[in-house]
Amino acid sequence: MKRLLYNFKITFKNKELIFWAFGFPIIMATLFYGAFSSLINYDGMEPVKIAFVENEENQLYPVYNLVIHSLSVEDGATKTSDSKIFATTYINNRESAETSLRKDEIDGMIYFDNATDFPKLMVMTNSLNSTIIQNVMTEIEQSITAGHTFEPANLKSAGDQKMDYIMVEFYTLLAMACLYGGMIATKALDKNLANMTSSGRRIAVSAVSKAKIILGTLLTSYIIQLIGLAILFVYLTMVLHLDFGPHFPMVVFFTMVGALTGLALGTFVSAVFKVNENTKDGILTGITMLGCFFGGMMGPSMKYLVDSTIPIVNKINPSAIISDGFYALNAFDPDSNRFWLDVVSLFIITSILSTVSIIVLRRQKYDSI
Amino acid sequence: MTASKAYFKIVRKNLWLIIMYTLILCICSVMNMHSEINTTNFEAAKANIVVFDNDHSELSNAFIKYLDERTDIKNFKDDDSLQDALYYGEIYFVLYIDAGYGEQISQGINAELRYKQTDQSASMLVGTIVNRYAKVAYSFAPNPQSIIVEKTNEVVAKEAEVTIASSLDVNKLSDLGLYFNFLNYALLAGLVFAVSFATLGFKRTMVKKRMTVSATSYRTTNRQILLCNFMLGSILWLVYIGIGAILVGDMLFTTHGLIMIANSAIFMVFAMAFAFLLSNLFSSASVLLPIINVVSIGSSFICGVFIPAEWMPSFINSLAHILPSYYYVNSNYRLIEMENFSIETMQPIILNASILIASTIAIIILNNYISKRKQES
Repeated sequence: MKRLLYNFKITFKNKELIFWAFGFPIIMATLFYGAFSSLINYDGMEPVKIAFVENEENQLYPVYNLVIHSLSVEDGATKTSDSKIFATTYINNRESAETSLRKDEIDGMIYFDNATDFPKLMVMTNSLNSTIIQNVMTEIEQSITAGHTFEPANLKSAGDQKMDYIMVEFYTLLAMACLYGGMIATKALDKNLANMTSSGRRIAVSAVSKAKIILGTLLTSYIIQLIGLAILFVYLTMVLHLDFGPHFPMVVFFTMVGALTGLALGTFVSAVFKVNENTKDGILTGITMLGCFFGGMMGPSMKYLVDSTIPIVNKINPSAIISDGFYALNAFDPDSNRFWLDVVSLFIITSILSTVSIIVLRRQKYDSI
Repeated sequence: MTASKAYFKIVRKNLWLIIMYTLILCICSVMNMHSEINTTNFEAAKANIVVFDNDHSELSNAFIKYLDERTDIKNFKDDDSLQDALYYGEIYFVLYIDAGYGEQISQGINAELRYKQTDQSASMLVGTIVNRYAKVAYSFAPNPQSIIVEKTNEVVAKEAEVTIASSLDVNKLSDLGLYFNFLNYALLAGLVFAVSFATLGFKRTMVKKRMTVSATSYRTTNRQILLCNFMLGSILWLVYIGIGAILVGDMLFTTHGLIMIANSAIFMVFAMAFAFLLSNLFSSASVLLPIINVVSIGSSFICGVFIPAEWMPSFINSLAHILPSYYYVNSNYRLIEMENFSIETMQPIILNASILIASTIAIIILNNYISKRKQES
């Protein structure tokens, strides 16, 4: 107990470590939330800007004028609502409309070539907005061709995709926090290694059981990691109001398993790589960064791409496994095979890393150092 | 050139770590090019959908043929993988045509069609394509299925005529922009890491003491280290450009590509100066690494590298203006859409480059000031 308290004292005095454990995930969460806040708190998209070139000579002009007008938001409105999707500018000559289009002031222009034909659409590129305009125009054209309006089809949702796609970002953030937590173990363990620090050399020649010291150090690191993750959870759920689904206790359990993997990774880097402290930090950061990239941090579609093309990569990537576990908890349920497979995978990775670390650390002796 | 010799000695010692970092970022760049992160150029006709047809009637067959012409129909047998595909945006829409659909429509019953979709705009658009066929078909009921199919096909064949004003190959330019935008992250994470790591060698107490008492002024030492940073940065930057040439091919040597290369070169110099400043301010890798992570990932997110700037709230876009990354990424976005190159059209690009150069100079001056203060103290 005394040893544990001593370890806590040492760790909390290390400002860099405290930043890794507590500050870094919160800063990243804030940045992610800022970047995605308009997608998380979606309140209608910006209207699609169109120019409608007036041509009263065309016989179809009144119909199109009526429909486009009914689909347009009021002047100055910045958000769409129900069926109001366009911000329409009425222009009486085609050249001015084309100039606006080329200046990127509008997304598309609707114009009539002659007195009889259907109107045409001109856009700069094939974008989402140009597809929306084309869809509306096609709808009107087909209705005129059929000679009647259409009743809505009887489409019924078979269960929407309720989960928020953006949450993958926060799942990988939690994975990153779990794995970067390994930095605490690396630093703490380095202090006990004879080839790294003078305190390690003193411990090496002392009569105290090294196994007890190392276990105590790792336990302290794990507890500090969990405190950091708890603070991160409070921030994500209470301050940013993110929803981790209905199985929150399992989310917490899974985070603890992820933190254990982070601890094993940190121990592995400290024990196996006989390099200086800075290089160990670099290795741990590199492994975590690459893992998070494949796990979907820089775009969730990356995880899907890796899963479907080279699945083995994410099967051994702790970051992707942690992210996948959170996803499985929300998409399926805690009893699903997929979630428990992720838990078992993390335990296997943790065991392998720990076993290798133990083999390297046990009976380490130096003739001179 | 004592500082230069020492610099490259440190680089040689940490070469494997620098190579590992560069390789990681190169892999990330390659993978990034093959993912569908950039969804701004969505084409409804290319959207992936899944259709489960349990009806196999004349109408359902015609419906599927219509969808096949406008979307890319994929096959999924496993529910879990379909769920994943929906969640990660690989599939936008799932349509279930239940048994008896064709017969019910034929009798004048507005038969139910079940669907699953995501809340992305692309899914909504696919929804309108599906909805269109279903409602046109129902509008011709009651009738035998063959007549409904014939009349529906006639109507849905009518589509608004669209002219694309731009002569640019937007897809290829988007790939080019995607690669150079990702370079923002690669340069900030990789180059800043490599350069800071090399410069950290000069922070060791004994080296610092020797430098302080030496006859060489802090300015000369700083200049030498900065030059070495520039050389190391240039080598790594050339590696990234080489990978770009493999990934985007000839597009790299078009006017658009060459300007983007120049833009990235300016940003590379900025990244070098920034790395030097960081390593001057902090003397430990465990402090530098989280800062590099926050700066590289954070600025890439809020400046529109990983998600388009138009998806972000206006306050984040305004905040991004204080970051040099914003001006680098903004130039790339502008170049993707640029058709004609003239002084007038290039003005925003030149202005962005000027801001980057000014930021670099400001950082170098600040760096010298900090070095001087540190030496005095």
